[in-house]
Amino acid sequence: MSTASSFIWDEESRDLLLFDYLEGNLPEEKAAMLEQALAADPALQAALSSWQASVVAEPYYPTGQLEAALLKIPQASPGLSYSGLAWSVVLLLLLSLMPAAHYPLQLPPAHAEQQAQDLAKDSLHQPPQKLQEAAPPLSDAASPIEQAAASSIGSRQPLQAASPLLQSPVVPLAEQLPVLDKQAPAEVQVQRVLPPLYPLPAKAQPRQIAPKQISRQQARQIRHMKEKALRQKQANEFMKGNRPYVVPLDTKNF
Amino acid sequence: MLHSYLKAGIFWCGMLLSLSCYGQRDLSRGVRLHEPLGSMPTQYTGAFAGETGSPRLNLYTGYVWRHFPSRERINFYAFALSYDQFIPALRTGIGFSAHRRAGRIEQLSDNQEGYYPSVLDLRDQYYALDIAPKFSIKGKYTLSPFITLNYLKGSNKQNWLDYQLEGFGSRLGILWNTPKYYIGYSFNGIDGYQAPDGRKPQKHFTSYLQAGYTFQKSSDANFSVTPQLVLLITSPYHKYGVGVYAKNKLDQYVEAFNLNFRYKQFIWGVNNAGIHLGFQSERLRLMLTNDSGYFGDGAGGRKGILGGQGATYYEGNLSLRYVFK
Repeated sequence: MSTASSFIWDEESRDLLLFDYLEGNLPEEKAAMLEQALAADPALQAALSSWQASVVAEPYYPTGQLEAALLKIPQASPGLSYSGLAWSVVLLLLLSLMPAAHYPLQLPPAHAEQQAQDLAKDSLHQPPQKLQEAAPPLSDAASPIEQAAASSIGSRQPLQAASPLLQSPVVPLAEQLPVLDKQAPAEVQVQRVLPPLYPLPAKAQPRQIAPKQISRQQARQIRHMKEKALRQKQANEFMKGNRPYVVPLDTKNF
Repeated sequence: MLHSYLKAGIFWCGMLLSLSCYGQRDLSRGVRLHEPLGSMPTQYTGAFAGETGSPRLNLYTGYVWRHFPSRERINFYAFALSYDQFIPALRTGIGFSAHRRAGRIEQLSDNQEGYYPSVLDLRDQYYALDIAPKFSIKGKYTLSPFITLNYLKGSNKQNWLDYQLEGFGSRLGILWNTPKYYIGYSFNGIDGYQAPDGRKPQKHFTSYLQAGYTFQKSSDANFSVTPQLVLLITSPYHKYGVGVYAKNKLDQYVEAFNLNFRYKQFIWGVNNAGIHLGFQSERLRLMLTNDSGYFGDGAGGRKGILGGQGATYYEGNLSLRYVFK
């Protein structure tokens, strides 16, 4: 009976095993044994993490339609459904209302930057007192955000300076305008490190490929393993019955 | 699964039993179409029937013209088609192929230019049915035995004599393949030369060993090199010569070959019928093979062998393959 100790093989077999494990091609029994060996062997763990770093993640894409097309499964035509239509109308209405509710705060970053720049220039040239007077009074029920925005408009101060909550992602502007930066109050400079009110949605970080210098022999080995993994994947598909019974010759070459 | 295996087994046994009705003769060698290797996939190994898992159609046409002014003049054409497909319910590949050849060989009996007293008209028809059950191993390999049942009808008219030839035959063999390589063996039966002086016919068997391999960095690489080879293997036998038996020592030699290079969908290379180029994709292959030569003034010892001054020849082959995927 094979145990975890039977994983102490030569380097090539070990790498192949780890590669198959990462590709998800190992049978459950073998995978369990490997995990057991991994728990006990730091060297094996290091090798696994090295392989993990070298695997290029394929972008996910829905394969349902492709599968249906390959299997020639007739798909129901989408057609018009009344419930779907109703939901669409409701969604459109909601979408049309959203800019009205949040217009000042939902400017695109480029516009926000321009607006902040304009405001900063204005605050240099115009006395704040007059504009303060011209600003309409706010009701007591106004929210802190609205109060901050109104005071900013009234005083022609940059939005960032008006409230820490209204920080916009225009930090580089301060570097582009050194004169403004010098004239800004000390607390503004401190407040710039605070997070913005509406942080931009975090971009999906592409998985970084480890900058690894590999020799031609290693590259050939990796290619060979990937090819082997591909063949194993195809074999698994065959075993599941998704492929025809014959394993054909590659008609591109023969 | 078991049901399908049973059906395939019964089918295969039935074919084996029916084979016992026929004597084995290698009739295909009588046709000698000189097709480029690969243009007719079941030409040497019937196990290629249904090997793609999809229906496949092959067409071939070839023309040969040779002119040896002081010896002979040859004109003949060949046409062949084959169709094969895989039947999932039987787990078996079935193929059918038909070959026709017609030509004329005009031979000189003396050195008088332009006078050809001996005229040989050849006409052959050759049909073959291939049955090849498939057994997949771990989803990676295919093992496929096969039976080919063939029928030949030919006539050779030499001046006023008319020789008729007709008969059935069969071949047996096996093929092992992966997407990247194959190796197959086919036993073509026993041939015999009947000596005219009444001595015992010298019988010998003939067989083909065929193999091919693709050298490619990865399965989706643009460039690949694919050599393929067919060896004729026979047992040593005595062949009737001029009044004597001469031992035929050539019991193994190259019957056909194909060295194919592919870049994307463009193919080129050399095969047993000449230099080829063409287009090849997963579905379609169009291959043109050409061979031509000019022997010049026939100086030296070549004069007597190749026919003398101005000896030329041309051989052109066109093959088309379509896989209905």
